[in-house]
Amino acid sequence: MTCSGVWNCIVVPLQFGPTQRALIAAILIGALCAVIGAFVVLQELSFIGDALAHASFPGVVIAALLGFNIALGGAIFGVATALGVGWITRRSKVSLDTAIGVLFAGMFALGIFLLSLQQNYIKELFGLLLGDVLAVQSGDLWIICGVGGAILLLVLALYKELVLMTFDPTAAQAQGLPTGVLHYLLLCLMAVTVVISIQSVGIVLVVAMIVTPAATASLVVRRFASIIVWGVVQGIIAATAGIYMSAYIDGVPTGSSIVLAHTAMFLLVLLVSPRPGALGGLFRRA
Amino acid sequence: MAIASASPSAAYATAPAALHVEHLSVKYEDRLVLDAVSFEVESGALVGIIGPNGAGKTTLLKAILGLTPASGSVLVSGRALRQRSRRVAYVPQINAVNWRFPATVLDVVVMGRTGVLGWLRWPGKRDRELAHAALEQVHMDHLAQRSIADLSGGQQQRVFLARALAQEPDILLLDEPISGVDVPTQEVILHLLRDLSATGKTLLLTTHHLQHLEHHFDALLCLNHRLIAYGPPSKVMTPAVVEATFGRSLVLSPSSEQIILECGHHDL
Repeated sequence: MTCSGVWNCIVVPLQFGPTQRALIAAILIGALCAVIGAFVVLQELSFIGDALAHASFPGVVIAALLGFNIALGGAIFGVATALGVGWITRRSKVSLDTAIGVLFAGMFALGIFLLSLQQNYIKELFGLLLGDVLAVQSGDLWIICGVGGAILLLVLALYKELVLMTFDPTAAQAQGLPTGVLHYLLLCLMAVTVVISIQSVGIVLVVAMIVTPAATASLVVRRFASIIVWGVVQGIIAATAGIYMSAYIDGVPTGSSIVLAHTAMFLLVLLVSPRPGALGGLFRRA
Repeated sequence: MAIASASPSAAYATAPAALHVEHLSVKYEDRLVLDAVSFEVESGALVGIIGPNGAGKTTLLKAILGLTPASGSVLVSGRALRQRSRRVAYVPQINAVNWRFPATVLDVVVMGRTGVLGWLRWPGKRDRELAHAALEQVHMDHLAQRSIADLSGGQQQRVFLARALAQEPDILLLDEPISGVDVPTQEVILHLLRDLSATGKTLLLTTHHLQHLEHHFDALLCLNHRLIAYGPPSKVMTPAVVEATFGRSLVLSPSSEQIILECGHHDL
């Protein structure tokens, strides 16, 4: 794609339907991931999020082969794996992170196995692993809006409970909150967020969409609500920058360009962070 | 086992105790951590729960709150805890919270309103006013907009006390509120707790700081998996009780009016 002049360069990609849809989808997903990410980062669930993304792979493959919605297929396998992790840790002495490691690698291998039974699977594999938001159809956009809106409404409705549970789980329990239910609900919200984001950024990179905005914000802000606001703004900026980068540099997958934009912002903020000791603060009182 | 009581006078005998604990037992796997602990606390009393590390002090608080599976019964003002959980507030050890979480002092204190407000209701003006009032009670309102992580340990402890007060409880259970802070700060916190008990709040706290026992508490509860002794400090702190509670690594030596406890190791 070529253009001349600043305004022209901004407008040209938007003349194409796929780019318009891609930009809207990337912005919605970027904002959604950032909201969930604030809780995920502060509850240290990043590893579980990454694992859920990988574990959803066989579901994504089966749905893609059969022509169903890949988010639905991914969600089924993601949730099944999460339950499987719970089942393993309850009936054996295997620790949680080990059970996650075993199951998510196993599920990922199953996905590759199923896909490799097809001819020319390498191209398909790349599409699923790295994502292609330019392939988003208007039907997908409605799913993202509907599911994403429902997730945001739930987070808003349970905001003060989720906040207390994140800051002080014992006090939350002492105040009569069902912390176990809230914990599983948050895991489910994260799983659903992961699978509806897979199409845009792919399985391998989705965790960065969730973790990096909140990680960047926590270098600077002093209140939890500000982490969410900062994360949403960063999600929108990274989505826009990523879509344009992908539009102008041939062959760059959108997942890669969006995540690179997030990572660049994180590093920039890390270097210029106004709070002395902000870097140390990440590790303090671990 | 008879129920030990720290009733300051017989006048309250007819009203139900602020807290009535009977045969409270907790098992972790096959280990009995709490063994049929029974006691009663009158309204407005300040009770210290003492015992060596691993004696089940924190477990006792959590069992009273229903946070850990336990057998036995807990009555708050004569009613089951489930109907009164809003009236009992818990102040955790300050290292038990997530210190990565960014929040102002006021944010933290308003969190005390979460359970009282119930589902789908956002904290409003009244909740913030209650939070400010609670902060004033612990002399911390001038720091309301500060970041909680920037405060000293003693200040953080007072913020958590304010959060519990914002819940407007009758009973406060505090886990090691005077640990990890210097001696002047311990005095400040103990005086705050004393003032609260004077306003009718019932307070139970765990501690391993034995040097404060004499003059600050209405009653001491000596715990080592089972209840060793319970009553006014002067009656409880006998050499036999101390040895049964802490084992033989501890030497009890009367010094002027106070009982001073010297321990064999610094961990107590």
